[in-house]
Amino acid sequence: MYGLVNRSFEDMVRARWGSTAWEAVCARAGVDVQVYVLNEPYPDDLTYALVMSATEVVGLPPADLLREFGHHWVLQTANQFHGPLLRAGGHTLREFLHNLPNFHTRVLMMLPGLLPPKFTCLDLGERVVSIGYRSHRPGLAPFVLGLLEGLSQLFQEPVNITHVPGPALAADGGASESYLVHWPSG
Amino acid sequence: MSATKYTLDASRFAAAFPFHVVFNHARTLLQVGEVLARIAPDVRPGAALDQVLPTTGSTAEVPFDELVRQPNLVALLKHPPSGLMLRGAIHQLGPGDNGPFVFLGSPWVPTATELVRLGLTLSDFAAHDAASDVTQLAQIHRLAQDDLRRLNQLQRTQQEELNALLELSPDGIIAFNREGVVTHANASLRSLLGALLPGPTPPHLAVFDSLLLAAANPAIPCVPCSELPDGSHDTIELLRPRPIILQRSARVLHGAAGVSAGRVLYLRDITHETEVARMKTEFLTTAAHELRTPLASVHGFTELLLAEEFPRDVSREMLTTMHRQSSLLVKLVNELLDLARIEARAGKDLQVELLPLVPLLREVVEGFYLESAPRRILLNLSAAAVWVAADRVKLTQAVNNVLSNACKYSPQDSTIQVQLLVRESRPRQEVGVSFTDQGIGMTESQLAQIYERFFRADPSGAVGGTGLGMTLVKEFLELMGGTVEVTSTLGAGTTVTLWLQAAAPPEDAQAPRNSNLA
Repeated sequence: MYGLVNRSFEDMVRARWGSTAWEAVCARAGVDVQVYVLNEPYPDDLTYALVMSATEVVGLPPADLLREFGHHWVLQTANQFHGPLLRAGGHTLREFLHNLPNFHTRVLMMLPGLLPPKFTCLDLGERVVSIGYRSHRPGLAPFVLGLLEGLSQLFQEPVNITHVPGPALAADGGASESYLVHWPSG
Repeated sequence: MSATKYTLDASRFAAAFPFHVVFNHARTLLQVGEVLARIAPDVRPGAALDQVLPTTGSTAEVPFDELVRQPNLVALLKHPPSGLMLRGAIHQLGPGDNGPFVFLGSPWVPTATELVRLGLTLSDFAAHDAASDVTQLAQIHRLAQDDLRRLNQLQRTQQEELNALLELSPDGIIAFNREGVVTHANASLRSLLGALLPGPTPPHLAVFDSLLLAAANPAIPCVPCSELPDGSHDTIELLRPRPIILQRSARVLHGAAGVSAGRVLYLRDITHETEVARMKTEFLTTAAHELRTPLASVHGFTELLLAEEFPRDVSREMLTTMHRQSSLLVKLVNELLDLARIEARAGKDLQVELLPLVPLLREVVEGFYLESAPRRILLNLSAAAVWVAADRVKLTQAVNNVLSNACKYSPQDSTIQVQLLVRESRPRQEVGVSFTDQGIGMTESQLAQIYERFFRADPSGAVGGTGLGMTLVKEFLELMGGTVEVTSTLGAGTTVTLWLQAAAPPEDAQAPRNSNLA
């Protein structure tokens, strides 16, 4: 994971549960990093350790915490650090979702040390798109759900999102998930 | 067979180059890319290129014909109303030299903010076009700069914390880089080593080592600081610029690829600790010896009495000795406990009260008349009535100890003078009680040891005592804010003066009796 993810998670815990909670999260996780360099890759284990530690410290199940982190990522972090770029991603939620695959392809070219997830976006009709998510990192499906919910809020387009769990990838133990994004009529 | 030349049809060309313009030799626009037309509505077919998209920057200085003839030259076109700048090249559409021209390019947008301002999104760019990547790279660069600033700030804060810690440390700390040059030395280092270090800046590690080793006690081997292993501790005894025992700790700094980046030395003054440890050992040895002597006597006589029948007068004499020795033991133990209590409680159990000094002195002295006879105690308490704030029990014990010494070390038929003194002092007057005997007196070196535990002016043992009396006197007086002064002449006698701060008498105090007893 790149440093921005850890930094964002830190910001969320500090903002929501206070700095003492964050110190406790780090101590419990055995992590002693004072500043995360935003564009620097960090071991995935570190991020997982922080998340698992945080679930114990703040008393939220991992799925709920990750989903909340997805909201925070879009509405706070991405907005703060990539705000204009986020807005350049599309004028509408649908346009943004269609740009997601390109966005991550370009990021991978610019920061080759990173291993971003792969997104696909498929129109299933006038009011439905299917978002495919594939990552070598397992267990982050709730985070993606939170991201999509956050984007819905950012673009002020209420949508229904249905998570269609996929099987764990045999090769790398990662995840392959689908999300149906549906714009209600009217 | 000629090779087939493939071209894009108009709609695919438009999708591949959403910011293109086609213009004729008169530079009139014939065709405009879809996205460009959207964000710059005045750039439309029929408009004059030079008006809606004039060349700009360094390109403006290049004759337009050159740009047209050399498609490898970068062409910069600017749309003045929006500030949009297009970067690309101009090609002639064939066949022949009569065809129109096409500008193929993309917006030059160095920031995402600019992208948004122009009303562009990432999907407005053709997939093959890396122009939008420039925007993302610029954003990444900006974040990296922010990181750098934050890391610099953090480093500055940590450096300040570290400097504060170093400067507040009472111990000497010095850091050398890989070349042995001093990178940091705290103020305590100079306090510890003082004149040993030449100049305001501590020297190179090699020089530092040679100065330290030259000042070290040659009788105790020690290794140079530069050779102390990482994490090691040892002690070094310096004879100059003042005798001092230092504990040295070394840390080797590990740089990139495990190469030493320098070393840090930590120097702690353990002179006092070492002296205290030595004194403790000495005290225990002496105390054990002092306790053993009367104990051995009691033990020996007990064994004799158990083993044999003795005549009554002999038995009695033995029992008397045993009683005297056990009394000494009790006194010794009590005094040791007094000293231990003083050290442990540091005066917290002091019961300070306003005391009239003269009656207290009179009471103690009267108690000595029998013991001191045939020596005479001459009381000269002619000074005005004085009050002191003191602990009655401890002051009484101090006077007792001094008077007891005066009696023990004075020949019979001699006189012991007790005199009340007053002297001006700040913040208030001081009252003294001096005890002058005509005893054996002390040499200067004996006088210097008078407050040491178990010290006796007569080491022969002929004069009884524990050797703790004057130690207690000094401790008691100092607890009560007073001092003790002792002057002595060998063979002529000793004067001990106890000084205390005078206190204002209580309002209901009765007029004192002035005494001049003999």
